Amino acid sequence: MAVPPSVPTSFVPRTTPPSVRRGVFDFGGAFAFIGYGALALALLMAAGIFAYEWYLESVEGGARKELQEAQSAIDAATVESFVRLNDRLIEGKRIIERHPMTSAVFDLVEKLTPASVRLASLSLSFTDARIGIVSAKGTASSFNALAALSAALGRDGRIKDAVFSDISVEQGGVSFTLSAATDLALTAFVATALLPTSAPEEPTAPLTP
Amino acid sequence: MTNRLVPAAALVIALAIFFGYVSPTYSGSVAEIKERVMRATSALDAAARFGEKQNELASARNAILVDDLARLEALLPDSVDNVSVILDLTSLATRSGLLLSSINVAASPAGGGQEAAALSRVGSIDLILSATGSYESFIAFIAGVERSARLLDVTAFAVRGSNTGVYGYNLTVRLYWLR
Repeated sequence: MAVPPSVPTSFVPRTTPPSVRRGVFDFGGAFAFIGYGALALALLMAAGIFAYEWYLESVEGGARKELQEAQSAIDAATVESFVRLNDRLIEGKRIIERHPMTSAVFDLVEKLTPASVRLASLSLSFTDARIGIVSAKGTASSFNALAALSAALGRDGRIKDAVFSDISVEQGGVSFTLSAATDLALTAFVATALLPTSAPEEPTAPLTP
Repeated sequence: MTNRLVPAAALVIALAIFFGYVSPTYSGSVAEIKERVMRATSALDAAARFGEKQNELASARNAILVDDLARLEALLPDSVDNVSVILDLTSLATRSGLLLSSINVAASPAGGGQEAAALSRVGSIDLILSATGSYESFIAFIAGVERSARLLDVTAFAVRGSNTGVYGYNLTVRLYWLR
């Protein structure tokens, strides 16, 4: 029996197809993947940066426009008026707190000076610390009258550090020079200067020579 | 060979794009714009706060009576205007029965030196007055000066006695204004 020609006469094993090969790395494909991937990523980042820059510029433009509107809404004259008012309030308060009530010195001298003492001159000036420096010249009818004035000043305490000097007995009385300092509370711009004081021993008299 | 050349070129182009555009743009112009946006946003916040404060201050000022504002301005005016003060003092002296014989102007001694005085928001000068009159007239005059609508400080005075009942007075009056 003859064998038909279509029947292989011997067994020849087929070669294994490339696709089913195991353990062989495709370097070319990986390199291509990295290259194209990097290019795609770079293009994507470039587009993102471009878009982000454009977005930021538009945000900045909007903010600038709003800022210009806000600036144009500011009235410099109104602001200046607020500043002036603030300065006026602060400085006015500061000056009023230092405002001396010099008439209180006269009131007190009138109350404390006995009628037997005459003042020929009286002066007052204020130091930077608002201490009033009093200086007076006068004549007392006697040493007792002068002592009464000294005691009255000492009791009251608002005219402090009263020093009598240049004391000399003259015809008609005892002449003297008085130097003293006023208490801050006496000339302060409050009603303390009007508080009642202890009455002098002798009847009071206004500043009369 | 071509199969490897094209991916290599792609890689080179990618690196060129990154280092030539992406990185310098991000750290350069984008960073600058971000900084400008932050500044603008901060300024906008400040403008908003300013607006709120302005409204608050306007409300506070409106709560002050117009007469009180006028009195405050009279208390501490915007200019020296010592001429009107002299006129007022002359008028007050006449009403008090005091005769003003001379009025001089002297620079107020500046506490803290000339520089401090120049920087101060308040200016001051001294008026030196000489007057004659009765004691009661002088007391009335002093009381008027102390309670003047414009802030006037009597910083010094001297009284000279006489036997006629008419005394001589020297008075230093300090006046202030807002620079």
